Amino acid sequence: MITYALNSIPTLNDTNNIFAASGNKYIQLIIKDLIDYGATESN
Amino acid sequence: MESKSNLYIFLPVFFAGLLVFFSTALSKEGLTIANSNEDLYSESYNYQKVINCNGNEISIPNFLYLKNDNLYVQYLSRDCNVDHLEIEVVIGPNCKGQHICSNSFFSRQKLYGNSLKSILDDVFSNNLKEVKLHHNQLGYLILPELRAYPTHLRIVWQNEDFIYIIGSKGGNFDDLIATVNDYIDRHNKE
Repeated sequence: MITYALNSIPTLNDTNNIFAASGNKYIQLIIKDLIDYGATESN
Repeated sequence: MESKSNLYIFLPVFFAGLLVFFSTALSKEGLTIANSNEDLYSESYNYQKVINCNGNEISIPNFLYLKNDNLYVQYLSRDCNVDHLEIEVVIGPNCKGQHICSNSFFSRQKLYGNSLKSILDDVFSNNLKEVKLHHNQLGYLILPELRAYPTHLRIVWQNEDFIYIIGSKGGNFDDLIATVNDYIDRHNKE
């Protein structure tokens, strides 16, 4: 199950940790690729 | 003495024969194959639209572009439930974990809360090419990479509750979009 603090806005790195906990390797791979490429969220 | 030595020859041959027979039968019929501490399910891929996982019927995409008749759909029991699904379509019955014989995959993951969806939509839209899908859904394209082995062409999309990813090797963009739209259409009729 994916859980995180509901009163905070997750960052891309948070999503990486969240999906690592889910055990879903395909989502983890996409997030990892995005982080490796230097992808960022809007401010 | 001679009968005893015959027995030493007969028994190993007999048990080896049994082993070959049952392993061949299991791989052909697509039954459960022991895989360390998890059960790996492998069944022939015949364009089925659902698989039975742990007592639940789970919908999977119809990979219509696949033509090979030696394809199998494989999944681990821990990756197959209504909240979390990962399946792989592979060439041959015993390919799990080997990149070279992986053809396509599909992943469906429950999202808990809108914050996660929002941040992913934000990152995807800032960094990936958008693809318009049926029922006003928006997907994002991830091109294959050149590595030691070919990687998948991937499309990721989200609705209110789930994030989906589909990937294909050797197929083309239009085939993959058609597969995604067929899956979305089926679920919007239900």
